[in-house]
Amino acid sequence: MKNLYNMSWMFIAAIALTFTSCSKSSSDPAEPCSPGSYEFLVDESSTVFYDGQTARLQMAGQIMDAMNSNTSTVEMITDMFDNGTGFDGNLMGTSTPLDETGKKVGSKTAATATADATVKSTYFDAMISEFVNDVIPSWDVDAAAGVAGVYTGDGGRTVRVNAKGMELNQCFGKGLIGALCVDQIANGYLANCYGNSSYDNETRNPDKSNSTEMEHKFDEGFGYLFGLASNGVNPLSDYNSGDVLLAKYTDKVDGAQEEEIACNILNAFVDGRQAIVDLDYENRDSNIDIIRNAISRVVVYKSVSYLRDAATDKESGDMADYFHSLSEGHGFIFSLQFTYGPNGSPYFTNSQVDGMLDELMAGNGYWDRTPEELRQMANDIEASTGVTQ
Amino acid sequence: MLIIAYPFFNLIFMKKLIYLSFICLIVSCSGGGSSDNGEYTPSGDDVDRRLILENIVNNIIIPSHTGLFTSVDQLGQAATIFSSNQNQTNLDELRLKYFDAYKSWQYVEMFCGSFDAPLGYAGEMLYQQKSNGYPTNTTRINDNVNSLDYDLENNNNNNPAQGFPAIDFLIYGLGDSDLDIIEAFVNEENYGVYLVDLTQHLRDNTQQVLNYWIENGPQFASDAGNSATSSFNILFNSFVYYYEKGFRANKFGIPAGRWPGGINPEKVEAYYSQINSKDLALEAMTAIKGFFVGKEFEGSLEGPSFKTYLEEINEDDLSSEIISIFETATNSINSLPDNFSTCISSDNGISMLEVYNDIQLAVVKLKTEMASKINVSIEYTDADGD
Repeated sequence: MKNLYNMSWMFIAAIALTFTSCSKSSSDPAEPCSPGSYEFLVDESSTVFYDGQTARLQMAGQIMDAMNSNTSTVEMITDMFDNGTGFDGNLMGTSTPLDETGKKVGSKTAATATADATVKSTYFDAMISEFVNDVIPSWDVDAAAGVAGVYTGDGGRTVRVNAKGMELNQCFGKGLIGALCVDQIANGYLANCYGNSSYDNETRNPDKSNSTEMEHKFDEGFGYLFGLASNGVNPLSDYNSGDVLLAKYTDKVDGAQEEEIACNILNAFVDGRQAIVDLDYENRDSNIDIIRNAISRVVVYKSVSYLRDAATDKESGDMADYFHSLSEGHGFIFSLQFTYGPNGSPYFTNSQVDGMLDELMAGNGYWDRTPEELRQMANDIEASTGVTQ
Repeated sequence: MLIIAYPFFNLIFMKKLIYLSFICLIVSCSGGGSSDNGEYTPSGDDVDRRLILENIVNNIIIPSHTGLFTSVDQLGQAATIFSSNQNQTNLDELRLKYFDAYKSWQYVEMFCGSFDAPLGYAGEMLYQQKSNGYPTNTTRINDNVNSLDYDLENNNNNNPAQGFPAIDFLIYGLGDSDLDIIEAFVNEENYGVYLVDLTQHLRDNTQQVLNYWIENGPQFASDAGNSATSSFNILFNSFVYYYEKGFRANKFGIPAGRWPGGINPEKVEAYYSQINSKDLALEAMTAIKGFFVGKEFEGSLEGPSFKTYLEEINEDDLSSEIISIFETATNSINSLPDNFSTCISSDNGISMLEVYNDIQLAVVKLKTEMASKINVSIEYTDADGD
């Protein structure tokens, strides 16, 4: 009966939420966001380029596939991750093979001064070897608590999991959203363009499309989110196409938790870049704050929503969906340590994140977690961040 | 018993209310939507859904399942004959029966529902996944053949090691030539044992699903309600889910590389026989069109259907548009070569993706426009994966 009692309160809360959000939208009608164009010209030529970011976003997708293929070896995945080789296809829009771009995902993973220096090896590298050494040898073993293997759910999804029920390529990929995209944008490029930036913003470099150093660094930040759009000037129509990282989930959040977040981020990039051109640094900085807060909210929303999805999946009895959702949530929770919240620090520290992940992995890991535990963690994240959905 | 059952029911009920209140939230905030939540209200039109259900159950579902049962029964007999006397004649006969049965299956897969909205006993026992889950898992098939110790009913990991795709592998994929295949069955008699067991399971499962419909069909068809668990709503959801997932994604989108990860020529339906994919897809298209217009399974009479429903509510245009999309899609499937797998490898999935685009047009019509006109909510989550 206790459950029933709780559920009634949730129902009332849900109703209340209905009224709250509706009265808010009727008394304070949000201006529809009209997307600006990310186009900055000198002598009628674009000064914007970020092909290194595009390359890494493409590489990330193939690394995630390699983390779910039983033909992978540690050497193969490590070559892809750290050496930037072993990829199929060309850099988008060019005839340069991805392997020859010289770009590497690994060297930009948890790489900023803000990021914890150990997680590249303790989280990402460790998962590569665990996948190859524990999951691949059990490819066709029936997974069970404490046993790595394959699990097909009633809904038809098949997952390959470690002994704790973790689908490692999901933990890995969603972890990159924080450690690569958010960290590089918020704590790397944009942080270094901010305030008393040491970047040169006077000299236009003919070898870099006549951009200034500061302009180019800012554009590289842009590229970690919008780098796979077919049209970088007006990226919103397909920026998430083929992406497996931040763009994909910004688009999902845009369609669910926070309408127009993608357009608002784009416009902050457009206005911030224009402010750099105009030497209006106050305006530049306020737009940088908008961007780094907004991409951080994406990570919070998805941490919470995947924990709740996992709770629902477990109740509905589809364990494969459950393992998948919770693995995604795991990666997003890991990513929280790279966020940049409104008070200028990450929403959660590295050790707070480790604490949450340890809770998820305690005992037989996901096999042992209850919907109540997962919902509690989701509620705690919401309460602590103030980012609610 | 009552004490236990009562709070349990209410728990579910409360969950639904919470779920609904979120729907309300979306509807009322998006503005312009009706406040009608679609769950406990009548459909809002005068169409008698029971007539449609009756026609579909009596003239399509039961006859098509009966047809499938007959053909899988014959498939089982041919498998038994081949496994005890492995020669070319018996292999040829077995393949004919397999192809006949696989074509019959195309009329039935749309009646399995989805995990979120399972349809009858087929949904409950995961009939779709046990009958047509592909690509088949050859490692597991070989493990099962070697050990002859496996559970085809309760271990979902064995779903892709049974049904038509597994039979396709056994009778086409065990060697490069027919001679090699026959030799494989001669040298390892467990292959024959497994093959016969697979046909037996397919037959038994089909019989159980058919029995369900014979026993429960009248009751299913007498349900005039419009809730998430009403017959009509589940049937509509099952059809749209099948069209989107079983037909569009499985037969075309996934092998042709519609989603990140590139082409998967080995994920076509009937991969090992190579030449059957197109015929099976065309058969499925015929089944889809027949269902939509309420055409009896054996014959040409059309009865109450999704098409007549739309006509009755003066949405003739929508119904014609959907039928016309089906026709265009049929023509574009026809323009493909018989062997989908080599077709995908040779042009990197482009021609298959063009067909996919033609098929996709009806997903929007069915899932968005029609669902809203007939006031049925879609109960399954996107079939595109995440």
